[in-house]
Amino acid sequence: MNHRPFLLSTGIFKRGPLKIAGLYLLIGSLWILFSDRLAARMATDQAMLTAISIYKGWGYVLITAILLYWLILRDTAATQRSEEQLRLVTDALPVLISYVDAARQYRFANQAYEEWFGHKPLGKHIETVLGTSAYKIISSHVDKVLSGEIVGYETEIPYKDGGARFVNAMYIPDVDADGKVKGFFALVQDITERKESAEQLRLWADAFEGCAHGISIGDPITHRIVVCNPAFAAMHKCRVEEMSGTGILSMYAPSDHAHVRRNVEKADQLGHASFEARMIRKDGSTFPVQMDLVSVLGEDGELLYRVATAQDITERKQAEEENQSLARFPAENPNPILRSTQQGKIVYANPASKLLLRDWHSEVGGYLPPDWINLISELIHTGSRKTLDVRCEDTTYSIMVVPIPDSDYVNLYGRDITERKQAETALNESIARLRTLFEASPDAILLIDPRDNWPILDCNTAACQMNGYTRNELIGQSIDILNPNPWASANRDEYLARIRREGILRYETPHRRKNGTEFPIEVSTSLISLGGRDVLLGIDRDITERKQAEKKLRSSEERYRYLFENNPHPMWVYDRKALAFLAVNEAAIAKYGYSHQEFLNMTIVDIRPPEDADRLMKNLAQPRQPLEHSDGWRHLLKDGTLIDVEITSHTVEVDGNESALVIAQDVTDRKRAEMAIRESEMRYHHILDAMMEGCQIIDFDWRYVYVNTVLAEQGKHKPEELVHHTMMEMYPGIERTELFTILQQCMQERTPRRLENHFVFPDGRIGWFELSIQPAREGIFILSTDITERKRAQEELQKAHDELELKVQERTAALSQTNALLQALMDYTPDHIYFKDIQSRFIRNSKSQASMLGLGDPAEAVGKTDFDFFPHAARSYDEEQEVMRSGQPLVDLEEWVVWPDGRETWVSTTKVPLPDSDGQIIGIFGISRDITERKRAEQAIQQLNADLEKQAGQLRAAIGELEAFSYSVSHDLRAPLRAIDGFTRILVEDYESSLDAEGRRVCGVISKEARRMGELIDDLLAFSRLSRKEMRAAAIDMQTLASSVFHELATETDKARIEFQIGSLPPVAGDPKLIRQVWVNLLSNAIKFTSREKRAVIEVGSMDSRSETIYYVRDNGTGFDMRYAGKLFGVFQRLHSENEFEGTGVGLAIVQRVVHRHGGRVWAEGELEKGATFYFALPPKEDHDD
Amino acid sequence: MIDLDAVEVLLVEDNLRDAELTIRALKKHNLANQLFHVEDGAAALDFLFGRGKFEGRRTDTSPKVVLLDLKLPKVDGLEVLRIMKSNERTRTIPVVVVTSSAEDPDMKTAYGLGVNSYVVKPVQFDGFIEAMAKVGIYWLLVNHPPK
Repeated sequence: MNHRPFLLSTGIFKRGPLKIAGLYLLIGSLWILFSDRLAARMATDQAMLTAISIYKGWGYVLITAILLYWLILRDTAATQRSEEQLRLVTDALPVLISYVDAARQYRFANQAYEEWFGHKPLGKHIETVLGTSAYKIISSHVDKVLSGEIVGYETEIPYKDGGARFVNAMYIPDVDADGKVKGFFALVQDITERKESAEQLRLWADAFEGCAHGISIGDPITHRIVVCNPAFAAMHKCRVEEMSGTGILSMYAPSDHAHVRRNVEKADQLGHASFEARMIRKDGSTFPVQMDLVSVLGEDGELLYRVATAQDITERKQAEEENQSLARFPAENPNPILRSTQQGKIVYANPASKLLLRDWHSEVGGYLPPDWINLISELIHTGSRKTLDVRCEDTTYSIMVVPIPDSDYVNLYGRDITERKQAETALNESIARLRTLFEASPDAILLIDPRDNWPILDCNTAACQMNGYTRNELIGQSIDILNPNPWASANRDEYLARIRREGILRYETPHRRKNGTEFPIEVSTSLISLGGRDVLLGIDRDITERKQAEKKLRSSEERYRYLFENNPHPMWVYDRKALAFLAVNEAAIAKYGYSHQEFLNMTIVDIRPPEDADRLMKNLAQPRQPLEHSDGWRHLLKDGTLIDVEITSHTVEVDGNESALVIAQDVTDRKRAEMAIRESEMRYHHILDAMMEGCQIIDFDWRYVYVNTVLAEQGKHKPEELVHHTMMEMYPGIERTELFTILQQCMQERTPRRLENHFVFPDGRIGWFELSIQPAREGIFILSTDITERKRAQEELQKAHDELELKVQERTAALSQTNALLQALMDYTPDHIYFKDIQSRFIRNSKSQASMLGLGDPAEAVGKTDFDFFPHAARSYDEEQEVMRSGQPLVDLEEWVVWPDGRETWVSTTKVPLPDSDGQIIGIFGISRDITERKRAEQAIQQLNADLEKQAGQLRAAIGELEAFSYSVSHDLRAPLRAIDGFTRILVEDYESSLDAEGRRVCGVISKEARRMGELIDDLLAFSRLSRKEMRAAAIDMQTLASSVFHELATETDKARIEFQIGSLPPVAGDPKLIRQVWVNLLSNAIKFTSREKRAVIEVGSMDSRSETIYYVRDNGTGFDMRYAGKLFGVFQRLHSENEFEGTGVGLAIVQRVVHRHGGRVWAEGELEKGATFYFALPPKEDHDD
Repeated sequence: MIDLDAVEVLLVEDNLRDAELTIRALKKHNLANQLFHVEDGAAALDFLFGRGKFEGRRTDTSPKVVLLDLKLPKVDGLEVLRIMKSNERTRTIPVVVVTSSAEDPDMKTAYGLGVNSYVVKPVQFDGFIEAMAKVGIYWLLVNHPPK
């Protein structure tokens, strides 16, 4: 292929020339045509024609020449221009463009060559231009291209300034038409930068790939990862491919999203943002990262992408946390930690340093004490650290001062060593104590080296004193100096072996003092480790005294044994557990009859009578006192004799067993003697107790020595309560009594006394005693008789006597009063009252009686009898005698009396027998009353009754007639009515045709009137029957009655139309039939008078009041004018015309009649067109009149 | 002229109006064909026993029912009843007392004598007619008289 540099020009020539040629042709043609004509016209002759033609020719040639010139100029200019353009381009291009001929000489080279190599290469050989070394590199390529191949290669060639450049060269052979290579075009591109860039890019890529930090590039529009490096992917535990496309925010922990967004914005604005966040892996685990975000902007400032560098800072965070906790550490550290500058300024002190700071009177920001400051600066200089103890208050700190290298700070680390110090102190103290003990011990303490001859390593003061040596004399010496019987070494070894086996050896051995005296010691040795060595520790005790004491004990034991054996009382020792005799003395053997051996085979149970065994066991079961003394035991001797013993028992220890040492004293005789004494005492006591009088013996201390039961009773105490107590104790306040004075007198003067004494007991009761006080040996002897009762009786008698006196006085007064009343009665009563004796003689008379008898003074009648006054006295005498004999009073005898003065009256006489206190009739008592008037009245009444009877009879007859009348009315009146009605109907029925409307109406009237008359008759009959009828009293269930009446009366239509309300009606007493009639009348009225209402309401109810039960029937019918309420209940009274409502006007009259007969009442309330309420009240069940 | 031997209903009623009404009522229901009316108690007895005026009547036939008023001249209704019920032959004849009297004593006596039915004459015409018709229907059609 032939590459021509001037491609463009070629193109132009192709089209342009054609145009130009064409144009020229055209113009030419036209010229020729027209110019000839013109010339022809213009030319006058041939010469002119020829001249014009010549000019035309010259002109033509001139124009053509100009045209040619212009064209070629243009062409050349264009060529030049394009050449220049080309040159500009080539020169401008950073590439080397050249043409090298076959002789390897530059025919053309652009400016770059000059720049590159520093000179124009035109005409020069390649080698000259490039340099030998470079030429060497490329010559093979040149050869290739000159052979006709297109060559492309990259190589490094040296540069003018000594450096080297990478070039990309392309050689294109210029092959002519024959195929011969004339030369070649060279296009060499400096790719150093590109190489470098590539290199860098590779580096960057490596860096990108290999970077330990994660790098991700994010698309700011899609907010997804475009690419990331392996480290990033590794951080997320994924592959790189998995990461690309991941949403950026999704990589962060949700809690950090807002924080991340903010930083992204910051990066966009400032170009860069650095922040920490928590990223979340695809598996959900989180890790902290340090993000560096760079927002890369394009040329226009638009955001191209964001590069994020992520660093997994997990460890760092941990380290930070550790640091923080470490940082907290000082704060939490219970030990003081401070930091100070070299100058001693405290820059940090943790809370635990409080105590120190307080002691130093300083604080954070303040200064350490001056001596500290000195120390610090010294330490900083030397770079060493120092520890010292500081004591503040009760705490001791060990403070280590540590200078921090490369700074002028020191750290102070404190440690509370109080306890250690205290421990040290304690240790020191205990060491000192031990030392003191060692020294102060009364026992000798020796430390012996168990090697060689057993030298004494150390000994205490006691050891020195005990043995009579000084310390210096002992230390270093063999232990043998103390031992009077030195040991052989074999013994020593054996000794050590024993110690090692048994730990501690204890034994007695003699020691010899310095002065030669020997004394017994008790040795206690053990092997101890002291300072790493085995040392024998020996504690010696001087047991000289103990030995002596043992000797004494032994002798006392012997003595004791002697006592035991030779005691006249039986003694033994028995084992508390087994109860067996362990030792028995001679006396026991003698007394009990058993031999020594027999005793040792027995237990203490065996010497008791079998019946006491239980008691013994119980006693033994109880806890023991060291010394016990008990009485009341019985023992059994071998021969069967029972003796009483008194036991004294000591608890002793025998061979480690709890035993008892017992002394048994035979007290049988003593007991017997005691018994005898007691018996005789009892006898005396019985005598004294049997006395009726109280007996007490009081000693000089006023203590009851003896009291008998009677006295104790008298004193309201038990005898045992009194004995041994003083009188003052038992009867407080007794010292103040007169009695006590007397007792004292007797006690002192030893004179007997007798007196009566009233005694106030502590509880306030009073008793009377007759006392006989005598001196006695012990003190005084008082015999007392309880005369309380007697005294009381006397008092009672006196009281009774006084009362009687009083009563008698009262009685007398009462009596005289009664007498006066009687007299008054006698004087003023109108009745004739008299008292007669058994012979009917007047004892006493009333004044009226006396006057009737014709006497002025009642006293004149005394002693006289009826016979003295009345002619008919015999009869009354007999009567009286009869009364007195039978004892039956004669009451209200009516008799006609003729008085002495001639008057005659009816009297009512009552005669009553008079009994005396024994019931004997001693007389008679009579009252006679004038009953004349009464008699007369009675007779009048009788007359009246007779009249009434007669009238009643007449009335009954009348009623009878009335009944008959109503009967016939009911019968006989009805029959014609029936006929009238009936025949009228027949007329209508049978002669309908002959009757006109009026005729029929007239017939109707006749029928109706006949019917009406029938109703009137019925009602009248009912009404009259009511009056006659006897009422039956029964309990009526008003509820059921009213309800059933309504349901009977109301037709189906009525029931449909009427709303019937019935309340709760209490029952009542009355005649059921009549009350039923009341309901019938009231309810039928209600039904009738609501017949016009579309919705009729009839309400039946009751109201209770205390005195009567009120029932009512209420309707919402046509009602009535209250003005005419009074007429409602009249017979035949109607408030409505026959046209409005039919009815006879008797219904309510009947209701009223019935209710009145029951003792009740009726009334009504109404309002025209609204309704009416009819009330009737009946008395409650108990009372109604008939 | 009614066949005295085929009398089904014997009406004993002194009140001619009432009698007429009764007959009318029965007639309405075609029950009055064999009805015979007497005006006093004696005539009734004579008829029943076939004596006096009614000598020669066959006494083996009896009415199906006797409608007997109480207030009768000559022989009283209750007397007629008593006689009827005490006589073998007439005892079984159903007797219906039809009277104005609703008095207890009359009723008691009638039932005591063994009356078969006691009807109180309704005061009103309608009721009367209805009652009579009912009585007639019952005793003549519903009831089975003894043979």
